[in-house]
Parts: sequence; structure tokens; C-alpha cells
Amino acid sequence: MTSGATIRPVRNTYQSAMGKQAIGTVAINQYSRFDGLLYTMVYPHKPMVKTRTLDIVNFDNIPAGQNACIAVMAYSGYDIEDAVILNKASIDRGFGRCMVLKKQQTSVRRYQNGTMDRTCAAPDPSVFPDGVNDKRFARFKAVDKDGLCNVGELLENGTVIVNKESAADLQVFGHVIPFERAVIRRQGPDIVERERAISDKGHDTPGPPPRAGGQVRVAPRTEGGVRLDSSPGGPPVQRHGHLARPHHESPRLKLARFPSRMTVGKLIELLVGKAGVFEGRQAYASAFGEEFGSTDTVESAELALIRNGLNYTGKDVFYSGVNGAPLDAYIFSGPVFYQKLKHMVLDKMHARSRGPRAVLTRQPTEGRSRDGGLRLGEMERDCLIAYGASNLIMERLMHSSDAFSASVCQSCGLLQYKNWCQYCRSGEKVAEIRLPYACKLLFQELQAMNVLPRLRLKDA
Amino acid sequence: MPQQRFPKIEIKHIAPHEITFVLSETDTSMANTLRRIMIAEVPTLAIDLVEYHENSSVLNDEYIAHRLGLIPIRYSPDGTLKGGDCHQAFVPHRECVCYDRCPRCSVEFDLDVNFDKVNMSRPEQERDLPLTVTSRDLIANNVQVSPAHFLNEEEQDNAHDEGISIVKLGQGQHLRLKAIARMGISKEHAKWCPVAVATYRFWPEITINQEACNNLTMEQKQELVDACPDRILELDEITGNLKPTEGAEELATFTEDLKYAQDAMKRRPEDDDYVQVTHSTDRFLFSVESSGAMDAEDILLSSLRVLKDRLNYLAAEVEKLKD
Repeated sequence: MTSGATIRPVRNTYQSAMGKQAIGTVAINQYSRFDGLLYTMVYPHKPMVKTRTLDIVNFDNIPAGQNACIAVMAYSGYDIEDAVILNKASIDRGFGRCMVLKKQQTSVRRYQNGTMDRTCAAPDPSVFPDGVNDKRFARFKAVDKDGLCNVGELLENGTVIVNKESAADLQVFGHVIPFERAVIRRQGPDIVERERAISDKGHDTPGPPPRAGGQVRVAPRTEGGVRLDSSPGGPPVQRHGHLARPHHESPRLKLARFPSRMTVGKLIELLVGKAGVFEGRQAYASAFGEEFGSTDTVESAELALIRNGLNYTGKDVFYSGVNGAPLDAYIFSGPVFYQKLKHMVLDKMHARSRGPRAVLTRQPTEGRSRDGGLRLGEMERDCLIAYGASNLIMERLMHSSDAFSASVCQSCGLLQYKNWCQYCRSGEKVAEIRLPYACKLLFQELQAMNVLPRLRLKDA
Repeated sequence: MPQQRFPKIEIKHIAPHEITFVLSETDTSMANTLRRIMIAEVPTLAIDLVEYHENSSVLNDEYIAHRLGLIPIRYSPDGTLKGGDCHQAFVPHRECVCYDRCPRCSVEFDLDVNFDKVNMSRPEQERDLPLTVTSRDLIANNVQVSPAHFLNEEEQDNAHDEGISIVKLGQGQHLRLKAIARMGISKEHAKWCPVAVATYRFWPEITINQEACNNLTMEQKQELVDACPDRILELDEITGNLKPTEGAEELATFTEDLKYAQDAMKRRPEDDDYVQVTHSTDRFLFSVESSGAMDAEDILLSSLRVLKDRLNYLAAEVEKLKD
């Protein structure tokens, strides 16, 4: 897949893993499919430099990336390490534009007691205090008579996609059971791409219950924090910086890390690709070029560049877009095939101050999807211990997490309830302490296993 | 004002869609200002809002809206065919006094293409083939405004489609929408950029040291002539002296080949150069190509106007500060 031999074979391995994460054309039937999550690129290119493997897999017909003209240089300091600076006008014109299709669905099933889920039209506005203007009614604006959202509807945060009702009690038989509303809601402003009707089959046949739902379309714009990757065993992380320079100030694209990665393949791709641009054809750069075949070599690319009046090293004169003066150095520039990876900061960024807690441990929940906290793990704790920041440890591990007030009897050392020791039958030596709820839980679980932990209290 | 200079513009070549000119007697900063304004601050029209009534095409709404936005929109003042400056004719929509939009700050385009309806009237050999919706299908409510379908006749002759293709329709597909064009500048979005290319380069100054050249043999002179890939030198047939070729200034790309060749000929490295090609500091060769939204000439004039307006604004603000 990677063009040209790379000095470090690991880069080929990295790319083999990463090429699968690239946003591009998934399949020819991608818009008829009903994938759970589908990323597609709006204007994919066929690569300027191709290889035999790409020919075999017909990559030109279902490409997954775009050719970007890059300038290998330092510019403005926002392009340190793997960051790149993109031309804002390129983004405006559709560079890296992609589309995300997300499936939202719910099951419509039949239950043991003979009741069945149903989807129904939006409730009558008169149910709500403010009628048509009520915010709670506005949530149903996307829903059609069949209880499913219309195609092309704009979904805001909290808009109902499927208005489903199911029986309030699924154990009771034979009665007229009131139905409760169980709606599927959507976060964020998206647009309905397709709706999925309920199929009638499957109610009585085994297998998953029929489902209702819609596919939602989001069209995010390329912005800071999108992960890009150049394929020829190139730098694995091309995190483009949080800056898009305006067109009139951009020399072009980026700086890349060549020396430490030793990705000669990328240099060759650039050179061969540039020659291809001027010769009006796709360059061919299989890693182990057939001696008698059509593979482009550095030498043939250099000759092509000279033929077209360019410098054979692939360098050009560039002007500073900011002040209009020519840059002091010649800049190595040309096309490189870039893949946009499906890791986007917008989908990943997360922070919380207060939020939900797990029921059992009373500690903050885990994970972004549950608005969870960020764990201060063992190693972080070790750092704080080594530093001697005991109050910070107290704060992080108890007060900001699962602090709990408990009563402890000083004579028997057992946890008790509200200033009364049921074991000693006295309320005299019961003290109030603060401890993590998880600790109290552990003691109780041990007690359940016939292990009796006792607390010995000392005056602090 | 001390050392005031009077920049000059000398037009080398002009066509509706492109212009090359020489800007002289000014600095790099001025040349770059002009370039930046042409790219980023000349106002044009572009489709900014799209209302969909029906879209059963294969492309989704945003996709088509993006494509519509990038179509150059041309404003031709009454009685002309050229792409003119829309600055006087429209108000930027954020500054307009109207509530939502009005003819003063926007132009509406209607597009209604129904494959099944159009299919019947197509020629026999094309019938049932996918139908391309192009910029020709955009009907404006203002006679002075229309999409720029092609840059010039040559482009039109080479094109496969009637205009700028938007989407292809198949059987049973229907696209009906209303597109609202507004005036803007490309600082906000590249769709308002009137130029495809706006670049300049420094005027080359070719100086030939005849005194030093007299020490060269004819073979060596010929070698210098051959060394330059831009072919900026030739031998005078009568005197046998080196001289710049006609139009050398446009050809020169400041290659270093000539330098290496003459360095090899010098007896001592510190000897004078035989031929020197240097950047002129006050002469610039501009090349501007239009996107189709405006004629190249008007882009230049409009950019000068923008610059003047900005300077006047600055002067007024400075006056205010003084008080």
C-alpha cells in the first residue's frame, strides 16, 4: 500500500493499521447501507501516486483521502512536531470535508403479557400548559403521524426521533394497561438522513425484534484537532494545529517530521507526485519497482521536473504571505496523499466538575458517554505521595469523590448508625468520622463474609 | 509628505478573465497589500443561504449547498456584459436595515429541475441518461445578476456541460430550491474570492558587466547563454557581446544555474560577476486571473478602492484620536 520503500518497515506496519481508520468511500453502496456509524468523505481524490496493491484493490474507485500540496517548512510555530497549518480557503472549498451518518434506533417489541410497543403521532398540544408554544411540545416537531421523524428534519438537542409508547406494567395480564412514553432523543443539531420504518415481520418469529429509528447526518467542518495521516509510511500522527491560516497569508500546508521517522518513502512520493502533476498522469511507485516496468524512480521524476522547468530537487521559491517578501530558503513542496482519520477532538473532548455518581460506590461515573470523572489513578497518587501533598490526596481521593460521614463506636470499633452503638447498647463512645464510601462498603462486604473489621480511632 | 512616491501601473496584457501588469515605484509592502486585498477583501456575490423545497437527488442538502456556494456569481451593471464591481449595487447583509433580507442586500435564485419533466423534451439519444443540473438552471430575480457559467469561450467550447455542474439527476428525482446570494468578502469564506490566482513576482534586473565579459572567449559566452534554462541571454551577432533576450524580464526565474556556470569561469572567486540577475525592489510583475465573478480589470480597480477606503478610515480615526 505504501508508496516507495521506507527505511523503517515499522512505518509500513503502522500505516497498515491506520489506513483502516481513514475516512473515505466505504463501499459503492454506502448511502444505501444502514451502518451504526459511517464516516464518508465528500470529495475523495484518487492518489497522485499509486502502487500495485492499490491497483489490485481498485483504490482509485473507492479512495480514502485527498492529495494535499504540502510545503515542508517551519511557519509561525503552530506547526511544531506533527501539526500542520491548513489554508483556510482550501477548507472552505471542501478540503477534508466529511459526513457522519449515525444510526439511532429503538426496538418495537411484543411482550409476554400480550402488550406491544407502539409508535404514535405527537401528543396534542393542548396537553401542555402553554399549548403550541410549549417547549415540551416543540420537542416533537420532527415527528410525523407514524411516530417516526421526517426525513430532512433538523434535530436539536432533545428533539424526539421516535415517539414510542410501551405498557406501564409488563407483568400484569388481561387488564387495560396505561402506556408510558419512551422517546428516543437526540443530542446536538443534526439532520435526519433517512427514516427506518418498522417492519411487520419478526413479531412472532425468533431473532431480534423489529426496530424503528432514523439515520442522522452530521457534516462537521475540518477544524483544529482533526487527525490527518499521510500514507507512505509517513508520520503516524498528523494532528493539524488549531489554526487555519487565511488564504492570503498561507504559503501552503505544513511541516513534517522526516529525520526522526526516516520515512524516505514520503519524500519520494512527494517528488514523484510532483513530477506526475506536471506530466499530467498518476505516478507509479510500488515499493520494489519492477526493473522493466513503469515504476517511477527518483531519477525519472527529477528528469520530468527538469523537463517542465522546475528544480529537480523538488524545491521552489516561496513568498511570505504576510509581508510579501520571498522566503530565505527554497521550500520542498509537492503533493502528498493525506488521509483524514476518524478521530475527531469534537467527539472526544470531555471535562466535568460535578456530575453523576455510580449507585453502588457513590464514586463519579466513568467514561465520556456517562459524563464521567477523570480518574486520578495509582501512579498519579504515587506522585502525590512522593511529593508529600497529603491534603491534595485527601481532596482528590475522598472529598471530591465519595466522602461519607459515618458513626463509629470507639469501644467495639464497628460502624454504627447515628450516635448509638447497637452492639454495646450505648451511645456514649460513638464518634463521627469521614471516610470514603467505598471504604465503608468494603467493611460491610467483609462483614457479610464473616470477616469483622474493627476501627481503632485516635485523636488527630 | 517627504519622499512621497507615485506608484505606476503598466498593463502588459488584458483580457476579461486575466490581467498582467507591472506595478512600479513602490515597495514590497504595497505590492503585497494589493495582492492580499484582491484575494481577501474585494466584495463579490455568492450564494449564502439555500432553502430546499424538494431534494430527492443522490447528494444531500449540505453537499449541494456547498457546491452552490462555490459558483461564481456575476454582477453586470445595466447595458454591459462584463462582471462589474457589486460594491455600489448592494449592501452587505449585516449592515442592511431590512428585517431578514431585501433586494438591496440579496439576490434570489430559483432552481427547479424535475428529471421526469425534462426527460421528455430531451433528444432521443440522451433520453434516460443522467441529467446534469448546472448553473444554467439557476434563475435570478435580478436581471443584472447571473452565475458565471464559463470564464471565456475557449473554456465553454471545451466543456462537457452547459455550465458549472451541480448534481446529476436520475429517473424520478427532483431538485427544487431557492438560493439566496449575498455580498461578502473572502476573509469570511473563500466562495467570495473574486480571483483564482493573484500573484506577483519581483522584476528581474539583468546587468551585464561588459568589461569583465571582454575577457571571455566566444565559447565561454556561448556556454553562459546555454547555461541559463530560462534563455535570458543571447549573443549579439554583430558585436559578439552578451545581451539580454527580448522579454527576458518575463522569462527570468532567478535560477542559480547561471551563477554556477560563471563561477566556474572566473579566475579568482572574488572576480566580478559577468552577468547578474537581481530582484528589483520597486518593480513587480503581477498576474491576476479571475474566478469569473468579476472581470480582472474590475478586480484591480475594486482592490484599489478598498485600499483607499481603508486608508481614509484610518486617517479619520487618527484625526479623532488627536482631538
